Amino acid sequence: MSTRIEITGLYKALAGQVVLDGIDLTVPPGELTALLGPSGSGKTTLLRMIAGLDRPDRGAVLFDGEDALARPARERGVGFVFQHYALFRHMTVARNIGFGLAVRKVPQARIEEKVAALLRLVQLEFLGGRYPAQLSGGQRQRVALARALAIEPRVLLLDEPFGALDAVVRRDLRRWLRRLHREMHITTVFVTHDQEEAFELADRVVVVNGGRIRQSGTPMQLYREPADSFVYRFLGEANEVPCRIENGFVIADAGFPLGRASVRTGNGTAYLRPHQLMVRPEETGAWRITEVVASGPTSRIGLARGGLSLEASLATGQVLALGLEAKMTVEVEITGGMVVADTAATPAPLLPASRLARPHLADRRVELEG
Amino acid sequence: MASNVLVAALPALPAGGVRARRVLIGIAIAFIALFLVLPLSVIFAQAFSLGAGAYAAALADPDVRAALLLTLGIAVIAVPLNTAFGLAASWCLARFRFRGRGAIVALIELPLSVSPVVAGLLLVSLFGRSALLGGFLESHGIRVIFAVPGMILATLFVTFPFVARELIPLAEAQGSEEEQAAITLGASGWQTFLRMSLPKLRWGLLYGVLLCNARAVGEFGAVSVVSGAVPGQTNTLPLEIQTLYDGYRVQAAFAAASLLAGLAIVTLVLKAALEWRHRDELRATRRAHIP
Repeated sequence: MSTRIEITGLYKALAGQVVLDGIDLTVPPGELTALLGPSGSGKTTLLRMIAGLDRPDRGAVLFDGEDALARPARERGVGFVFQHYALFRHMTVARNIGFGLAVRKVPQARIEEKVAALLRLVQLEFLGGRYPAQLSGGQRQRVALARALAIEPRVLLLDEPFGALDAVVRRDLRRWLRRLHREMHITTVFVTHDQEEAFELADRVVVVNGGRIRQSGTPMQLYREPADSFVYRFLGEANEVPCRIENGFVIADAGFPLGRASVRTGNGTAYLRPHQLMVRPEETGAWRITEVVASGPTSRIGLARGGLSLEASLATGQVLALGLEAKMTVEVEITGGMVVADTAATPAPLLPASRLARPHLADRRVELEG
Repeated sequence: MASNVLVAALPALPAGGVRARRVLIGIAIAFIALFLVLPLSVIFAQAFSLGAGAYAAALADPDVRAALLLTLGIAVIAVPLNTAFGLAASWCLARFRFRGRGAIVALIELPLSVSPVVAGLLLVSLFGRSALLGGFLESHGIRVIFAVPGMILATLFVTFPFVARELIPLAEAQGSEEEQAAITLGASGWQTFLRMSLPKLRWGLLYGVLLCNARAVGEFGAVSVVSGAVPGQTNTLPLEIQTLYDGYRVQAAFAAASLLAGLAIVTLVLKAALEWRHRDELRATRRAHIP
């Protein structure tokens, strides 16, 4: 019963501005896919086009091979959960959920049965008689979801489903939705700008920017092999280090080696995630701690060397154990990262140079090989 | 609901504040008593000044009866027409952005800023016997000015903005996301309007219709210019009251006026009863709106 969504060459311009610039995307049946991108990237427009709430200028949307664009939104069998839920405020929760069945002239008894089942599913059994304004944000979200599920949609679409909720509710709902999807197996696409949300929920993440798909794959694939620096930066915090590459050795413009890469020579940029920097106290170390900011279980450490500033993140417990504090001299080991050479189309992983702990040695080797 | 939270969050007033509050409330009550309650009681006192028998006799007068029927008849035509117009205008203006939209919004308000007498004269200049349109209609046996059609037109013009004005800001504030949700759930355009847009607007619609009706029933200026004031034929209740008063039949005039006042009171009571019956829903759904 799960539906495959195939999208080809979707293009849309609004007032001379290109919103979607040739989107090709296939969502396999029963899969949970995240459209991840910054605001204005076109991800919501894409979602609305799948639902039939917006029309593309060109391109095709197929549900199991049949042309979805030929059907109006009301006949597409799409469950859409709006960012702000769009609950019918003049109707009780039960009537909200039953609306899709009522307009289909389903007998009242059957509607009541189904609404009761859905209320159980979203764990709101006792709130059927309430009005949306009397519910909390998380409860409204679940009502919106139950309402969308009531019509047994072929495809479930969610626009920033957790955007309007506070952190704790968001986390609980995310896990709950994940479980729900595993049980129901409806082809689901949701839009988010939060990479953590996309990674935790989705089978597959599609990174969208500037109306184009930058990369799509499993969360692990994206994280390990980002297609370009945009994807890399969007998927997590990153230090950007201008560098040059000489015979496979990556050297920061600030004048010290960062590691090795499969790129031969040229200028470029190295990207280092804060957690890829290992910090340990060393009186003869080349780095200096500029600040230590403890924010819960992880701490941010500001590092400086030769005019270059980096940010590392360490478990707060480790920071305490090592006794790290501002103005301390330390050594930094770079355990991984990514290098984008100006000459290369694709990024290369930054590999740790085992001797980096003794930088002058690595420096000498560069000289020798150069 | 938001306002309750706000009130709860206000710090307690100092002692001087309490006195100031009492004084302000006192002034408000005194004002309402002086300008609303007192005149209303005077109307009924004057109407019954010659006893209940005289009151009944005044209301039994065929001219007064004809005036009452004409007034209600005009309202029955004008109010539904302007309701339909107001709904269409708010639906369209809240959903679409187009060139000239601002001008339409401003024009809808025009009858409020134009003196009703001017509105009446405008109709005379259009439909009068010597005017082009009026002459044409007259030659086909249709009389507009100094007849009921003119009075209906005048009432339509004057009560034109009431429903639209009530609904446009409401429809705008509510947006169209709920309608979009209804469509994805399988509702047709008509179902969406009936089950979504209309119920969402229904309280605004009620207030708009009540205001529109009150004005339609009570309109004097515009109607008086086009009516010709023939007792028993083209006198609405407000015009009849003036005719009676000018004829030194003060008690009868007040008796007729008590009908209008009674109409207003019944409307108020009905509105309050409706609000009371649906208080849960109102509390749950009302936003900052509701006059």
